[in-house]
Amino acid sequence: MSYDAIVVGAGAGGGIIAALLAESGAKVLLLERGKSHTYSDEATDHLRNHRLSQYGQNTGPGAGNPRVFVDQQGQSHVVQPHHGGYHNNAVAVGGGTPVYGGQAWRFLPDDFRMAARYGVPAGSSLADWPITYADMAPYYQRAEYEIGVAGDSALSAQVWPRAADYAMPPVPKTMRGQIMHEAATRLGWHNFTPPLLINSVPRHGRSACTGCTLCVGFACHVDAKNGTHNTMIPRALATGNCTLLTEVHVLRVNMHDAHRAAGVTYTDATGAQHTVQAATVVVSAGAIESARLLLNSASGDHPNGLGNHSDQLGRHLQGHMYPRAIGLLPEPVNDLQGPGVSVCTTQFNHGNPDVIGGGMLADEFITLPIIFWKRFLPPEIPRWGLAAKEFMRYAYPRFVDITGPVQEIPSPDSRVTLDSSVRDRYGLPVARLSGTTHPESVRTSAFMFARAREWVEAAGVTRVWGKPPSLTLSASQHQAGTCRMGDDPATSVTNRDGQIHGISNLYVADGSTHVTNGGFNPVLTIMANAFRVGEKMLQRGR
Amino acid sequence: MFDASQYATLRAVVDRMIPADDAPGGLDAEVDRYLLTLLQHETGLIPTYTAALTALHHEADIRHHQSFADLTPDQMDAILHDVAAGATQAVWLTDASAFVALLAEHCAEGFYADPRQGGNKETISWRMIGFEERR
Repeated sequence: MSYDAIVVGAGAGGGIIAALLAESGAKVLLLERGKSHTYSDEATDHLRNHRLSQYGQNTGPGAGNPRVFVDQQGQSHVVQPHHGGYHNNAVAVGGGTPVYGGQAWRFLPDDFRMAARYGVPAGSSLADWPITYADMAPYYQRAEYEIGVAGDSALSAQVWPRAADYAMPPVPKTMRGQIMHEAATRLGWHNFTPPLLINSVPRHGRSACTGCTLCVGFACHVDAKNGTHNTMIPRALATGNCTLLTEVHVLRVNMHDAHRAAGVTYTDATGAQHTVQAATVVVSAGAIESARLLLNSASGDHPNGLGNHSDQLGRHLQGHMYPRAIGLLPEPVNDLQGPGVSVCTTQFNHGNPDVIGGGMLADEFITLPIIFWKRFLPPEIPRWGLAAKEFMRYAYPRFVDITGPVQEIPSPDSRVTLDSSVRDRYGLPVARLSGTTHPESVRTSAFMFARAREWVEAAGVTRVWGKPPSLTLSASQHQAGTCRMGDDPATSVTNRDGQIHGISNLYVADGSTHVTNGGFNPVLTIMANAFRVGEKMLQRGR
Repeated sequence: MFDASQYATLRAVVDRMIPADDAPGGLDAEVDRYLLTLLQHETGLIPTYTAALTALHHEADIRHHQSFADLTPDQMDAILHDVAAGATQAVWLTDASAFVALLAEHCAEGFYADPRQGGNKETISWRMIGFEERR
C-alpha cells in the first residue's frame, strides 16, 4: 500500500497533522498503538487511571511494553507503564487528550528565548527556539478555536496580547477558587480563571461540562473535554482520505535512500507485519517513543538512528517539576464543583530574583480522596489509627492547595537511549531513561514553592505544609525535548518546521521538538506547533 | 488464600488501621474484602501477607499467650507500633516495619477509593469526608 502521508501516533500532534493533510486531499494513514476509548468502556477506577496509576491505568500501553529507568544512584530498573519511573503518557486515540485536565496555555514570548534572556548555566543545554511567540500566535489561536478552549479573555489578554477572544467563557470558580482569588488579589498578584480545553457551553454538537467530580485522569462522561480524539481525528476521518488503524505498533521508519524516508513497518494486533510506503512520514509518538522509534530505525546511512548525526536525538528530555503547598482553612470549602481548577497566576513565570524562569501557579482539579491520602498528607500525620482517620475527616473538606509546572532547565544528560538487554513484545529494544533535569530547575522550583506557600498562607489557613521538589527526572505527561528543533543541524534534530535535518520527507510533530517546555502545561503548544508544521508541509506540497 | 487464623488477624488489623469511632471504620467499609480482592489481582503480595499475618499471630502468642484477634485494641496497637518500629519478637519472613506501612496504604485504598474496588461500602468514607462522585 502507498499513501501520501503516514502519521505515527494519533495524539495531540499527530491527530492535527492527519486532519490538515486529509482535508487538503492527501491520502493519510494514521497509526495508533492504543485503542479508541469511549466513556462507556472507560474505567472510573480511582486506583487505575492517569491521575493515580497505582495498579494500572485506564488506557494503554498494555503488557509487553516495559522501559528501563535509571535512578539517580545509577541503578537500572525494568518498569511497567503504571510505575512512576516509566514516565507514561496515555496511549489511546487522542493520546493524552481524552484523559487530560486540558489546561490550555500559550507559552510566553520569553519561553521561546530562555537562553537570550537568562544566559546558559554551566552544564545545561538551555537554548532559544528557532521561532518566536509571534510565529506561534496565529496557531495558538487556531488550536484555541478548532479544538476548543474556554477562558477568561479579558484578564488573560493582560498576559498575552490576543487577536481574538477565547472560543468560550471560562469555567465557573469553585468556592476554593474564589477564596484563592481573593488571597492573590490581596497579595497584588494578577490572577484569573485558567483556560481549559473543556466546553463551558455546548459547542460543535457536544455538551457543556457538567461540573462532575471525576475529571483529570478520566475520560469525560459527556464528551465535553476537547482533545484530538473528538475534534481533529473525526475531521480527518470525515474527509474519507484518512485511514485510522488502532492497536498497531510501528517498528521502524524505512528509508528510500540517505535523504528520503520510504514509509514504515508496523505490526497489527495479530502480530502480522506490514510494510507501507508514503511520500511523507510524520513521527508523533510522544517525546520518549518518537525518540525510540527514530533510534530503532537506524540504517546504513544513519547508523545511530534517524536524525542523530550530531548525537542530539533523545537528549534534553524534560517535563515539569511541581512544587505544591497545602493548607487548611478554618471552615469547609469543598463544594465539589468540577473540574476544580479555577484560579491561576502567571505573575512568577519570568523576572524572578536570582533564578532562571519560573512557572505558572494554580489551584487544583478535584482531588480524589485516595490521592489526598497518598500524596497530600503532612509527613508527621500517622498513616493509621484514629488520628489518621480524624485528620482525613477534618482536612479533606478544608484543604486548599497551590501547585504548578516549573520551567525546567534542560540537561543533555537527561535522555532516551535504547536499552541493550530489555526488549518489548515485538523484540525491539525498549526506551532507557536516564539522567535528570539541570540543578537550576531545583532552585527555580524552590522559589516557586515559596510563592505557592505565600499564596496559601494569604488565604488565612491555620496550617500549611509541603516541600520543594528535589532533583529528579520528570518526563511523564509533559514529556518534551528529545528531537529538539533548531536552525543548526549540529545542535538539533529537526529544522524549525519539524523536518528532520537531512531527510526531506520525515517530520516530527509532538513535544519532542520543544527546545524548552515553558512554565506551563505544554499541550496547547504541541497542538499549535502541529498546526504550524502541518501548514508548512502543505506549503511545501507535503 | 488465608487460613482461619490469618483471616481473623487480617480483620483485627484492619480494625486497628482504621478504627471506628462515631464515624465508621475499616470493617464497616469492608476493607478486608478490598484486601482479598486486591491480592487476587496482585498475587505477588500474597506471600508478604501470609508471612506477616502469621508473624503477628506469633507476636501475640509470645507476648500474651493469645491469638492476635483475641487481644484488646490497646494490646494490638502496641504490637503494631513495635512491629512498625522494627521491635519484633517473633520470626518475620518479610520486612516487618515495611509491612505495617504497606498495610496502612492498602487499608486506605480500601477505605477511600471507589466502592467498585471492593471496599468503601456504600461510599461510607466519602460521606464522612464530604466527597461524592457527582455527575
